[in-house]
Amino acid sequence: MNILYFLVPLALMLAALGVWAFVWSVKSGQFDDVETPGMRVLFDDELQEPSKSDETEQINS
Amino acid sequence: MSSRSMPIIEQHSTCAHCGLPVPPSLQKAPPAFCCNGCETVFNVLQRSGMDETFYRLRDASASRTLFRPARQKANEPLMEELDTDVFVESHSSVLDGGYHRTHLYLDGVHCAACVWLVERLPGDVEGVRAAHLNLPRARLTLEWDPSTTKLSDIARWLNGFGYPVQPRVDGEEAPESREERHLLIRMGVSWALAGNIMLLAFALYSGLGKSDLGLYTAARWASLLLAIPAILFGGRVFFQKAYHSIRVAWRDRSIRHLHMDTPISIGILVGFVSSAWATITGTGDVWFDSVAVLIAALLSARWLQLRARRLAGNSTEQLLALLPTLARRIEPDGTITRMRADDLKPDDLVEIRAGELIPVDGIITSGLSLINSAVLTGESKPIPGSTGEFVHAGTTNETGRIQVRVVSSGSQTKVGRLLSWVADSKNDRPRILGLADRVGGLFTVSILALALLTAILWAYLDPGNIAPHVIALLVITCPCALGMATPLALAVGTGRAARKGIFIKSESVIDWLNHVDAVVLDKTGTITVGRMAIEHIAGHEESVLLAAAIESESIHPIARAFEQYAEGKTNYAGSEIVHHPGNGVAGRVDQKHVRVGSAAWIGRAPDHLKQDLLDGIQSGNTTVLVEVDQIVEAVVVISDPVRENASMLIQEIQESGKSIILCSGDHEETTARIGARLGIPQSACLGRHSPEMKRDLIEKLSGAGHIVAMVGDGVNDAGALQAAHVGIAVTDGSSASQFAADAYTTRAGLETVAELFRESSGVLRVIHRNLGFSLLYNVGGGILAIAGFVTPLVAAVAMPVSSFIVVLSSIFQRTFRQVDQTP
Repeated sequence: MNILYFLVPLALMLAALGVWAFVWSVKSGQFDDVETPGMRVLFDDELQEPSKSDETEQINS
Repeated sequence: MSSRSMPIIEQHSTCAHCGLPVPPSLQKAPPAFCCNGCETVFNVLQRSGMDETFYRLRDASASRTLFRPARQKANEPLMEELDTDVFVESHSSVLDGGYHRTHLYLDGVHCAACVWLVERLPGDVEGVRAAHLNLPRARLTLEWDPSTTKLSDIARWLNGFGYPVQPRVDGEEAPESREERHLLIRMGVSWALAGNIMLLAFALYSGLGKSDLGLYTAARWASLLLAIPAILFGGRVFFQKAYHSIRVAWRDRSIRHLHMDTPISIGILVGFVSSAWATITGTGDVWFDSVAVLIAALLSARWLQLRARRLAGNSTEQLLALLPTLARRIEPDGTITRMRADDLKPDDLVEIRAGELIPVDGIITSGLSLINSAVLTGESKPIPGSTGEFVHAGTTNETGRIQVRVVSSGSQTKVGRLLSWVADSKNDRPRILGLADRVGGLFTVSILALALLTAILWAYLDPGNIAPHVIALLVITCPCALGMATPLALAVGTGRAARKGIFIKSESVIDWLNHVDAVVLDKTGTITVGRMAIEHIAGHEESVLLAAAIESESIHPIARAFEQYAEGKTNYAGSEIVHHPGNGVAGRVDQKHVRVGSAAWIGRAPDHLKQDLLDGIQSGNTTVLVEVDQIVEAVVVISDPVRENASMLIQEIQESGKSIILCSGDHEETTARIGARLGIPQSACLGRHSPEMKRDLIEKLSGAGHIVAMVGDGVNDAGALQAAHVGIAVTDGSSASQFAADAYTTRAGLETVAELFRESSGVLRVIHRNLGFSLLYNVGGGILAIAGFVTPLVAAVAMPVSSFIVVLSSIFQRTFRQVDQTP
């Protein structure tokens, strides 16, 4: 059972990693709108201009 | 959809754009359309080659609300406002490369196709770098270059597809982000901590202590370490509110001010402190898991509530462009300069062309026109304005060019003062407490009394166990379910309402709606359509079609009524059209000489039409005669028609025990006549009420002890909507009324109002059900705790189960049910 002294803190560290990821995703605005991005999947790809990705970043910041 | 191209065309009877039935008069070879709006949008889409993807996406995703045909006319004053430097400066942030970012709210976006179409902006309009639509909030984030592209051009592009820009803006920062994101982080972190504490608690419950004392102690200390951030970070919200409410209660010497967060905070603190003490001393029970889950669950309920409220509209939003911002000033040398209306000074002269909004309060110095003040007074009939008459800002100059000498401008005008009153009093309405909050004080006192009782009881039975039993009582009666009961039921209810186009801004609306005993209804635009239409024709109908042909060029509201009547029925074209201002129109149609106008101008009506003419004039409606080749052929009565099923819905509201008052800025006779038709007693039909009088009426009614709901649509109702306990704005566009109201609908008419009344009682029933259950749980838990049966394990099971039941009961409520809508 002594392995628990190692495993529980390890699990907690993993949990902390998850919390950090969550806080980051909220702060970058990924939860502001959970409906529209799902619809964008339906769009044709020809619309994606090359610079699109960094603009999305800016909008979300 | 099997075929990729325009699947809807196959059926002749439905509109190729929106799928609604095509009226018989417009039936033709496919593509057929239900209205001009749809045809325009269809053609625009086809010309720009966007039709295929648009229709495919629209069919692929469920539409959020009924697909509405596009409105075509752009809101001109708004377009001007968007282009002013002031707007660009104050509502956009500067990005690199000269680009600006701004947020616009759109009407009519509701499905994937709308998102796709709107986000085509960068490819279609030059100078736009990025367009990002947030569908639930209908907010478009735009990056554009003001030096090459005007914002109004972008707005017109959107308008062309049936997405008018709403006249509201929010500040530089996205309004929801701060508070909502913070709460979401708080909630997520709390759940993560609670989950880990629960895992450790499982080990403890399953008998860890007996087998391995080292692990047992370690698990308790780990729980304590995890619980500290849960209390400090997650629980802070409750402690702050509780502290505040205790201070207010102390100041006012009244337990009624104790907020629901007070018993919650007591439970959390007692649970945590006693557990921490138990951990440090190594004796007694720990409640860390119950406390942590409690915090996380309550934060979840609050976050849901906040989100539901955010979707219904934010109080930080400002309304734009109710006054035209640009005016044409006539300089002493006769030239005309365009300038901001706010910068005009008294005694300046301004020119206003036909169809424009009047930008200032002033006196007409020359020209003759019809002035429509429906937006300000609710009067549906335009009145003639000539030299010397006073005109108000915000009213429409319908027919002719006039010159006006400025008396006041900007916020000094009548409508400016009204709006600033609405904006000022927006936030100082006394906050009413939610149902659960009202019992908060009582709850705290009862719990403390019970704790005393437990202490006394166990002092007799077993003095050594007083502390554990009192702690158990305080923890298990911590009102988790009770705290969630109201916000959850409301969040689900308002969320569903929003999907049906009814937006409820504050939860207290549901509560008030159930106590409303007087409903004040506005007439123009609320009960009636708010637009002139032909109500009744006596005589030859064919002659009315001839008349419509000569009226078609005029923008006079009566002419529009004719035009609308004849739409799709005739191909007549008029020629030699001569307008006789104040009298009527004459012209030649189909080799015949046609005149349309007032009885005084046309002359005597033939005997068989005399009675109809008399009836029409007596009814207070606009009555005109149609003359074809010197013979009077028809009497046409034009009025602002009552909306369909208005009378049924009014009856429904009356039957639920509420009294109805019809209050309008229109003439007394018109108001009374419409009231009579709808079964509203004559004494409750009040005409000629200015916006201020409406507001005073509401204040008088609430002063007399009534709970008043006001239903209105225009700027003229904004003050009254604000003053009423519940202000409901019914509008299919956006206006000041929406800003001032507590609830608004995106469908015009009374249907949504009746539904709001009906369904809010359903939501209230769910709240009562939740509260009843929660109280039952607390009483049961309290009894168990007093009897000494509550251990941390019992609490760990009972508390989440009770919350879960409240969650289920809220989610499965049967309010605001979606009726089948065919998109």
